[in-house]
Amino acid sequence: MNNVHVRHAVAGDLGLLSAWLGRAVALPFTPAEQLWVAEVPAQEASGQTALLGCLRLVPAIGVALPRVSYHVGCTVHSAAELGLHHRQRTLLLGHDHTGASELTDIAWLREEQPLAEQAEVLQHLLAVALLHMAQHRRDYSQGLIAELPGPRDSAGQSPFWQGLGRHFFSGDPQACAAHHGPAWRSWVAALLPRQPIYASFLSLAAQNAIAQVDGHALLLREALEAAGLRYGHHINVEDGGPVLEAQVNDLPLCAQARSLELCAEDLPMPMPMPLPLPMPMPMPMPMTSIWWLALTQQRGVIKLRGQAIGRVLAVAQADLQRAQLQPGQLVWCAPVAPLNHSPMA
Amino acid sequence: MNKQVQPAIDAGPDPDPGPGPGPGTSTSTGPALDQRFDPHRLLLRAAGPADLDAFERCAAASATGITTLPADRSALQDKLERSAQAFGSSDDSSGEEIYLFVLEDLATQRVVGTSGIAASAGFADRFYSYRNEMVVHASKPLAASNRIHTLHLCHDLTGHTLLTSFYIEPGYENTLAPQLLSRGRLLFIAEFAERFSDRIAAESPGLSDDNGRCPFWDAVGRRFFDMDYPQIERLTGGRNKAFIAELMPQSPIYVPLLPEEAQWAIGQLHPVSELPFSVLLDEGFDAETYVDIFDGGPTAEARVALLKTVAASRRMALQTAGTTGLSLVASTQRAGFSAMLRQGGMNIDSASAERLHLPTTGSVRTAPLHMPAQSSGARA
Repeated sequence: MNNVHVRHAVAGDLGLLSAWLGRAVALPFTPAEQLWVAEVPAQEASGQTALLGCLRLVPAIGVALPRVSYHVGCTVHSAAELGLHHRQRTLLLGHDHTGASELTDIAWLREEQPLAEQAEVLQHLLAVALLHMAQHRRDYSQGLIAELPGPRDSAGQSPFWQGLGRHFFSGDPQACAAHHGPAWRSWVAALLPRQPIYASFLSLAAQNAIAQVDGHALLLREALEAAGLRYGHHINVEDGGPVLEAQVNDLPLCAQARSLELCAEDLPMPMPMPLPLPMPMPMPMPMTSIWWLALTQQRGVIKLRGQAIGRVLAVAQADLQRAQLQPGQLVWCAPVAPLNHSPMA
Repeated sequence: MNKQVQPAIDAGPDPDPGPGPGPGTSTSTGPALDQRFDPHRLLLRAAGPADLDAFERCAAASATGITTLPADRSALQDKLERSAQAFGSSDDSSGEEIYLFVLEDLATQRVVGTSGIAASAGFADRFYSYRNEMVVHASKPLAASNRIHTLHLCHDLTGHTLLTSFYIEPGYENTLAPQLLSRGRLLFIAEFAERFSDRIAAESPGLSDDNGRCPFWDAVGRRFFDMDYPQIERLTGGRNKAFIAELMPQSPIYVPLLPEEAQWAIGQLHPVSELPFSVLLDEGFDAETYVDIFDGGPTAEARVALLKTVAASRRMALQTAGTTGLSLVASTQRAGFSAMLRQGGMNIDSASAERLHLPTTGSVRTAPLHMPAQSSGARA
C-alpha cells in the first residue's frame, strides 16, 4: 500500500526533473511554494533511490507574469423564420485564473512502469499537495487549477497551435518554451487575438484539439478528476489542453482533512447492525476506511487503514509500528475515498 | 491587404450587336476609348415606370452580386414607382428615396444602361459593412511585432448616400457612356444636395464565379448560415439586408485565420465592376476602408463635396460661353432630370435643350469631364 515515498525536492533532483520537463527547473523561491518528488522508498530500492515523479504547488499564479488561457464559450445565431439555429464555440483570451493556486510541473516515470503504479505515484503526489493545502489554507487561494497538455503529433507539433497561434507568431513554440521557460506563454499572449475567435475559423484538426488531452497525460487527467478537479471551459493557449479547476474547499480530500489522535487497537470488523424496520432515520456509524496520513516533511504521506471515532483515529498496532507512529500522536489526515457521513462524535 | 485593383480584364469581343465599335477596332487591349463614337447620342434621364422592360433586361443581364437590381419584375416595378415618386414629389426628402436613371442611346432609341442613388443607406435600419482595421500585436521579450488585418462589423456607412444599380451594355463599355451614366448622378446630387447626405458610398460586387461560388462568403458567412451565396443573395434581394447581417458574427474577424483564397478576395472586384469602380476611384472615392459583409467586395466611400465632378460643377446660364473640351451638362429640374455630354462650350442648341428639359433661358449644372489617362495602369 505504501511503495511510494514523497519528499521535498532537493538540488540533486533538479537534473532529472529538468530532463523530464524539458526545461530548467528551479527549487521553490517562496516558502509557500512546494516542489515534491515521489520515489521508491529507500529500504526497498537496495540503497539507491529512484525518482518516480514530481509535482509543484504554486500559491498564486498570474501575479508576477499575467497568466493567459482561452475561455471556451458558446454563441448562438438563431433565426426561426430561416430555420436557422447555429451554435458556435468561441475562444476568448483572458486572465481568468489570476490569483489561483496551481498544481504544475507534474511529471512521472512512465517507461516500463505498470499503469497502476504510475497512478499510485500521481495519487501520492496529489494527496501530499492537497493535504498540505488543507493544512495551510491561508497560504493558498480558494481556486486551484492544473493545466493538462493538449494533443501533439509524432513530431511534437500541436494541431491547435498550427490552427491558431502559428498565424500570429511565427516562432517555434517548443524552442521558445525551452528557451524562456513558462513565461514565454505570457509573452506570446501579447501577439494573440484579443477579441473572441469563432472556433469554426480554425482548421478542423485545431477545432478537434480543443480541450483534448494528449494520450500520455490521460492518467493525470483521471487522477486530477478523481481528486475533484473539473474542466471549467478554459484551455491552454499553446496546445488547447484543458485547464482543470476546483474550489479548494470543495475538494473531498481538503474538505475532510482533519487532525486526529492516533490510537492503537485491533480494528473491529465492520458489522452490519440488525436494523429494526421500518427505520425512521439512517443511523450514522463509525466506518473503517483508508486514510492518508501526512507525516513529517521527510516522509510525505502514507496510506493506513483506520477508523475515525470522534477526534481519534484507531489504527492496528502492527500498522502503527510499521509506520513508526506512536499512539497519542496527533496526525493531519484525510480519508482516501470521501466518507459519506461524518464520523460519530 | 489585397486592396489593389486588378489590371483591367479583357472584356473580350463584344457579344452585343449594339452600335459600339465595329469589328476589328476593339480587340484585346482593354477598354480603350472608341473615339469614333459620338457622345452626343447619349442621354441620361430619370427612369419611369415605362422603363420596366428595359430594367428587367438589364437586371437579367447583370451578374450575380448586383443586388440592388432585383431580377423579379414586380420588385423592379415597385422600385421604379418609388423612383418616379422621388423625382416628382414636392415633399422634402425623408431619406427613404431612391432615384433610378436610364441611359438612352438617342440614335437607336434604346435604353443601354441603368444607374441609381439611394438617398440614405440603410434607411430606417442599419447599413452593415466590414471595416478594415490593422492592429499591431507586439511582444518585446519575443522580439516580435505583427500587423494583423481584422474586419470589424460596423454601421459606419448608415445614412450615407449610396450609389447603386450600375449596369451598362457591354457594347457601350468602350464609349463615354459609362462616364455619363455614373458621373451624371453626381451632378444630380450636387444640384439637390439638400436631399442627400454629405457623405457617399458605393458597393461593388466582389469575387464570385459563374456558379455563384464566392470565396469570401464560403470562408465567413457560410459558417453561420450553411447557405450558398446565390441563396443568400435571393434572401437579401427581397428583404432587408440588415436582417441577415444581424446573424453574422459580431466579433472582429482575424483575417490571418481565413483560407488564403478568402484573404485574397477581400477588397477584390468582380470583373464586371472594374469599369464603374474605376470611375469611382477617379472621382476620388476611397476604397481602402470598407468591404461588403457578404462577398468582400470593396465599398468605396467619400465626402460628396470633394468628388471631382461635384467640386468642379457649376451652375451656369444656358447661353454662357463655356470652356472648351468635354463637359457633363445636367438640367436643374428634379422632375424629368436629364444630363448629356457636350463637346465645346455651353452653347446648347435648342434640340438639346429640349431633350434636357431646359427652358431656353434657364441654367444648367455642368462639370468638365476629365477622363483619366487612357491606360489600364491608371486604374490601379
